[in-house]
Amino acid sequence: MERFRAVARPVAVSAATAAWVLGAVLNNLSGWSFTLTAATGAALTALAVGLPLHAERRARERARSAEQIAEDAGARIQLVLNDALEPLTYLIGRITDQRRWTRGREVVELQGQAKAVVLSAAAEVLGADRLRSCFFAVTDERPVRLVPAGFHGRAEAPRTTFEAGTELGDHALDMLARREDLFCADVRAASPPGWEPGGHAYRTFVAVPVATESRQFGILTVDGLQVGDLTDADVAAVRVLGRLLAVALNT
Amino acid sequence: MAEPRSNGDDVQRARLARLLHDPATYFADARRQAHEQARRLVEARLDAGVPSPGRP
Repeated sequence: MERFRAVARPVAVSAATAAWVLGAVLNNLSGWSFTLTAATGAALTALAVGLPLHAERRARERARSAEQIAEDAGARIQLVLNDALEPLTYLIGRITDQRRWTRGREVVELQGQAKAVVLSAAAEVLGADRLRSCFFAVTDERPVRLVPAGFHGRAEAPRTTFEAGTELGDHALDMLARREDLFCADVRAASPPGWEPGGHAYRTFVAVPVATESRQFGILTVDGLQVGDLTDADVAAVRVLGRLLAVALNT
Repeated sequence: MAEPRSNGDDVQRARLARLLHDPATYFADARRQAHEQARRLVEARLDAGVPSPGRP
């Protein structure tokens, strides 16, 4: 089909131009009137053929983009469901299978695995490269703090600790208490209260609670280096991972 | 008759072990396979002339 199109275009323009030239010859045109007629004919023919071809090319490009979008969406659903959530739910099943009176080191080990699966899935399935996921665990001590308790992705360990009594810490703990999430599309454009600019490599992040209705364990964050690495559409997937981690830890 | 798919606990256990052993490679492989399968599905739908959802 492509070869036919490639041949058809010059043939169509040549044939139409030849028709104009033939018409000029038959009308005994010569000199500048012949040249003008032939040139105008060629230009108008090129326009008449070129505009539909341009529209056709645009349509083909849009169709290719639509196919790519459909492929990306399908791949992402499969990646989240098959490759992240299925092994995680299997693991949670193993945790809940443990008899309450025999729970001990094995459960702690399985919970550690669940945390590793959630962190790796959060950093790997959202699409953009070089994402980092972090888990900040809530401590029992006073003042209450959210401390780094694991990360996956870019080799930059999280350093921030959120402490009650500070503006940023209160904001994070309040977010956790209300089971709300936070999506910051660009930290330079709109950052959380108490945010200290500088010192952070990332430009965008998502933070979700790791909590059940009655217990809270911390917050799960995913951050990216570029604005656009994370979108609103990513928040739901991170929320599900946060909730499932809470279920795994809730023993 | 529909064929049973081998996706039981043994498969999940092996998959989980692979994920925990090397998550970056696990997800890189998974991403590639997911894209290949999604491309096959899109092409199959296009070849079959299946209309987009919401279209007559």
